[in-house]
Amino acid sequence: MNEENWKTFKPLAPPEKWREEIIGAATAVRAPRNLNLLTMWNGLGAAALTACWISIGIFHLATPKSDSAWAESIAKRIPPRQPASVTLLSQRLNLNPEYYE
Amino acid sequence: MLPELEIARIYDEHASSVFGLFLKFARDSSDARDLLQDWLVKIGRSDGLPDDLRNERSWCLKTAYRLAVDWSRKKGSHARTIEAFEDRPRAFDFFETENDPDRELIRLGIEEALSSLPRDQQLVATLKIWDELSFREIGEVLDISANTASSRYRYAVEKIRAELKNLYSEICEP
Repeated sequence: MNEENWKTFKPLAPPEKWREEIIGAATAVRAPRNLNLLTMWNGLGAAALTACWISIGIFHLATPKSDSAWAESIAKRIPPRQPASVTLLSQRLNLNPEYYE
Repeated sequence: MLPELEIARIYDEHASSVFGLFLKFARDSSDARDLLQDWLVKIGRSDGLPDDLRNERSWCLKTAYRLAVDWSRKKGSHARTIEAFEDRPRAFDFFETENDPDRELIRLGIEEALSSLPRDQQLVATLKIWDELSFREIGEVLDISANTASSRYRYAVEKIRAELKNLYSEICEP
């Protein structure tokens, strides 16, 4: 008896009942990947929408409700003007301050 | 990712050979089953078989061998796994049982002889005799040269013949 005869013995095959389970597992693994991709896009979309609403909210809160309130808020931000001193004016206009004082 | 029909075709055509290879590494049939599932999942996730594929069986066995080696390494060092594997009796067969009592005796003899070989020789003998790969293809599967595959095969066949010699004479004697 030689290798040709040994070949007639059939190697053990995996049990038939494993077939569906294993093929099922190999194909099922791919589904969550697609699902994950979908979830990822949904998540990104939701995050962008939330960011958009938050920006609108901040803008809304930061903006005064009426024109007068707006004018007041602007007025608060501008420092009151100080009268210019004669010395400073003279320097700017290249004049002799002593003459004007 | 491969379509389901293609995955099923690969399983139907190559699962037996791949399972046989995993049985050489596994300590029991549930290990071999897990490996078989991992292998098919990996194939399913891939972009498909390589375009320049000469022998699909050989490619499947190569991917299976790499997976089995990785699995062995994860289970512990290579040596420890082999030691554990060789110390305990096998809980499964390599071949299907035969109805004819004489053939069944020979089957058991071949299993015994194969089990007594080092794993490298077992793999080469199985890939050559039962999977009908060339030495070049065996070399590609196991990452060895064709010459090494050839010499391992020669040693394996000599040992199996020596183990079976007495059994043959018993069966052949009237």
